[in-house]
Amino acid sequence: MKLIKFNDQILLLEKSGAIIWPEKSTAIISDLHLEKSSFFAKNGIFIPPYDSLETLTKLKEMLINNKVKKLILLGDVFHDSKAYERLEKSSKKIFESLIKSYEIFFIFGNHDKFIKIPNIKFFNTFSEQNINFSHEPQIIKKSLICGHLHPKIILKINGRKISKKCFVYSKNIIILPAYGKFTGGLDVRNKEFSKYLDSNTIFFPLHNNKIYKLTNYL
Amino acid sequence: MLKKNYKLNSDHIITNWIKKKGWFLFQHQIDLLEKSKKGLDVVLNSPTGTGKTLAGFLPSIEDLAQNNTKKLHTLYISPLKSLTYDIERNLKKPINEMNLDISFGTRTGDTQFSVKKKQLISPPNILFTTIESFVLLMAEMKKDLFEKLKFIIIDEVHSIVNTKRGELLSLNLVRLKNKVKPIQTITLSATLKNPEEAGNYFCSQNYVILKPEINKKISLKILNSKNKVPWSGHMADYACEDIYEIILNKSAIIFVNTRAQAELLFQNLWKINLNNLKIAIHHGSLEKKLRLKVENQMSIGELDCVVATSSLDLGLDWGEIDLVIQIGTPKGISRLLQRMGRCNHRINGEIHGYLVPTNRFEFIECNAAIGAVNDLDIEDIPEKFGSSDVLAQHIIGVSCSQDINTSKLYAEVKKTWAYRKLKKSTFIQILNFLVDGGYSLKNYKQFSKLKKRRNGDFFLASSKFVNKYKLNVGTIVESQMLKVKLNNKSLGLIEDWFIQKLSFGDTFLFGGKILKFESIAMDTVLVKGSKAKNPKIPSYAGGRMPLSTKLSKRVLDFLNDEKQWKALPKNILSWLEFQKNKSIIPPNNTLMIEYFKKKNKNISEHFYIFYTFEGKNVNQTLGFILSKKIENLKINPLGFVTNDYALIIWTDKEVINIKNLLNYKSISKNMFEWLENSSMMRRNFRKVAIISGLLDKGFPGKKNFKQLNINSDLIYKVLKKYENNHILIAATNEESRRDLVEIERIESFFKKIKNNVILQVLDKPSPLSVPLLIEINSEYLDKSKTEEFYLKSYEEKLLKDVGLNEID
Repeated sequence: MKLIKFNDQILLLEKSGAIIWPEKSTAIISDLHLEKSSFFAKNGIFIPPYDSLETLTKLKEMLINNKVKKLILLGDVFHDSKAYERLEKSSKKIFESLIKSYEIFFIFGNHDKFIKIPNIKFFNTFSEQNINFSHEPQIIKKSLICGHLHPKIILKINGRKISKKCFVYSKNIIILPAYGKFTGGLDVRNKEFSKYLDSNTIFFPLHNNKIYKLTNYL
Repeated sequence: MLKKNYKLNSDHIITNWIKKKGWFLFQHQIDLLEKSKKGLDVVLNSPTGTGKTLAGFLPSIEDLAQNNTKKLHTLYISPLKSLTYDIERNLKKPINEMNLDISFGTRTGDTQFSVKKKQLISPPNILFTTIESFVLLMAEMKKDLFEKLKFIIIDEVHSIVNTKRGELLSLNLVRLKNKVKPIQTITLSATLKNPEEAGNYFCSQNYVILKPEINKKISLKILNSKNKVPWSGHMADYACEDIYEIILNKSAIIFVNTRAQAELLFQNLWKINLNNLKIAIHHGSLEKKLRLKVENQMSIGELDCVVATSSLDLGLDWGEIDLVIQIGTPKGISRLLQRMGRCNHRINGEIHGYLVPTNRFEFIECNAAIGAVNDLDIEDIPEKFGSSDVLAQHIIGVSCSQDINTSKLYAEVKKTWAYRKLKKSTFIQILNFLVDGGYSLKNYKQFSKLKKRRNGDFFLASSKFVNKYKLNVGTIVESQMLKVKLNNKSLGLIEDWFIQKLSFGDTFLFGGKILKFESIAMDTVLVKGSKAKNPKIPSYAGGRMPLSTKLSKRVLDFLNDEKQWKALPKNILSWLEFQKNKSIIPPNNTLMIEYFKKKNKNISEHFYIFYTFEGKNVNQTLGFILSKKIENLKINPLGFVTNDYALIIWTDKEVINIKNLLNYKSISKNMFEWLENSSMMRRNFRKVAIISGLLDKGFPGKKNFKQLNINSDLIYKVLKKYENNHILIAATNEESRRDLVEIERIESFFKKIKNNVILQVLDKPSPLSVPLLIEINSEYLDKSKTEEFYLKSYEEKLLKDVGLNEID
């Protein structure tokens, strides 16, 4: 767990890739891409059908461990707008128990913008305590927490290449790593990120149930 | 000299042509013609320059001369694209000179779509093709196309037998023979240890082996350089001038083992090319046009020298090449003989060759190789049973053109030599995998790729899967490749991971040019020309063959026989003497371990070098196992490297009593379990997943969103967790077992050393270990452990650099 200050709020960056906002008893996560495997199966690519179960189990554990009450989902929770219907029994059970146990704020992502699920509040953007939440990053004056880009960092250390999902933490913006099991990542050196980075940006790579901190990386 | 006039009718077309030329037919050529007339399949095993190719085509030429059907009559299949063009070129001449009305054409991945389409409608009599293009042709399965097919000629079979490509080919051959009968098969090779293998693999039960007794004299020497052989390295820089002097007077092919060597040597030769010799480069990553240009120039004698990788190993016939130069050892006798055969294609000509060791260790290896060549001590090809991933690919291939009847297809597959022991249950498991993934706990029934008809047969659910199959056909899995473009001109393909290691503005060698890395756009690397002095060299994965057991044994024997050292040049001799002083020469029947500590900035690493001389595979397996055992002692193994002679493991702490780890009983126990989480298993899983069609190969130029890609490592992990009996896990285990775990060899090694282990504690690397320490092929262990170590130290270093403390 790493502690950061963002817009005068204390936030905790959690080792599985979530942000905990202790003052609001809230967890923030992004890009679960549930049912990505069955989406691929539709195209004849039969990757193992256990991604939703894996991701949701990890999520549930994290929520229980951190004793939060609210959950902000930053979009692309489902891989496509029909993915919710494809959730099979055991995964659906976990998802429904989450709806019952937590107050959920669901921000649409580009993958799931037409999704409908009973008992969930949907938003295009959302804000609380002067912090804005959206799926895609954008340059705004206020502080923004978002996802979408699946940041990953590639380090070259002693000739080894190490590639890890990471948080991107700049003064006005935090970009979350993708929380889903089968989600790939985009190198933070890709030009998609450049608008949101400066020399003070800090990266927090996730690895083996630990979180690391890299300053002065770029 | 072998000679005998072929007694056909005196006005026989082939006899006349041979007479006119003032030539003779060789006995084996005549034999082949006669045996094939009796309807027999033939395995011809004959050295290069003995008219092997002509022999193979004689039955076709004779038959077509008498009754040409205007249909596809002969299919020539080669493992190498460039070989198909070469054979076409070489066959054109006699056919024209005999004034025969025989049509021919090539069909490879490079053939234009319009030409391919035309071939399906009006095929040539003789079609020259590659394994993959033949397999694709089978997916079309235009029945009347093969109606009059009489001969299939398979070239260079030694490189196909007992490989996945061989499996794919033999599955398709059986299918073809089931549809069209009879087809006669003729297989050709110059270096087959057991011709029976080729016969079993590709021929019907009635085949004959023709093995003419022709011994070409081989004169093979180690290049005597003015400079000293360096301690380490793989580039042979030191010998560049000596090589140049040789090629000044004689035309040569210079073979290297890696593409990096090719690039560098080519650069270095041009730097000193004051006489403006025409020197070219040839390797598999180069753009097709560039490769073809070199091949053409070579065939018409325009070049003085070509630097080539294994891309030119096989049968290309270039007439007057005076000699072959081999940089580094070729790692096996059969490969060395194959390469030597590239020169002097005359039956009585002596073969001249030079070996150029790139480091001191290789000097000894080269010595051993020459001994083995003189004794014609060729390696066996280990037998390999048919793999599941190849069969999975084949079944989809079959389904592209017909329904699948489970028992009929099973019976057909079992007819191939490779799959003769295939269990029905395995076959069904593979089929289920293709239907909907074959998962037992959950299923994708609603998305089936193969659907069931009422009669129980399966059919392919959508035609889009046909296209997907065609794009992914084959068993060669390469890493992600990017196009290299200079001023909008494509130069070839380069590995994605190599580019990832570069920063913008870095320079590198490619296709003999120095290039500056400018930018990446989609899947293309844009570069500019550069004159930088020290460009990086892409070191390509793969292409490095393990040294054969026979050579390793010869090397160890040489080291332990000081009388033989006299033959060594001074600097090599003093290197071994130095080793004797600083440590010891690794004795026969004993395992020698050297230990030293190395401080690298703020990380200190402990190195252990195990001199086994048991070949790379054994060393790699030992590496995995010993690392695991070291880990159990709460010490982090940071990595290991292996080569054919030794294994080096480095750790973050000293391993006390390392000798105790070398107990065979505890090593053999759970050997496979230990290997389960290795990078080797993950790599093999990726291969299996791609060949079996679970994942796409990934193509340059194709739209490719990295965020949406699925990492094969993740799939492997999840599969192991939920479906440990899945067919792909089984196939991965099978592949890995074959790759590495030579349990029997490890066992016999430990029996041989009988607990004789010597530990040499040194304060720095020994002379003998220096070349090994620079070995490029490295294996990493449980990544999570090592990465943790390096991430942590990296983090610490960075924090220290900027004077920040961790806020935790």
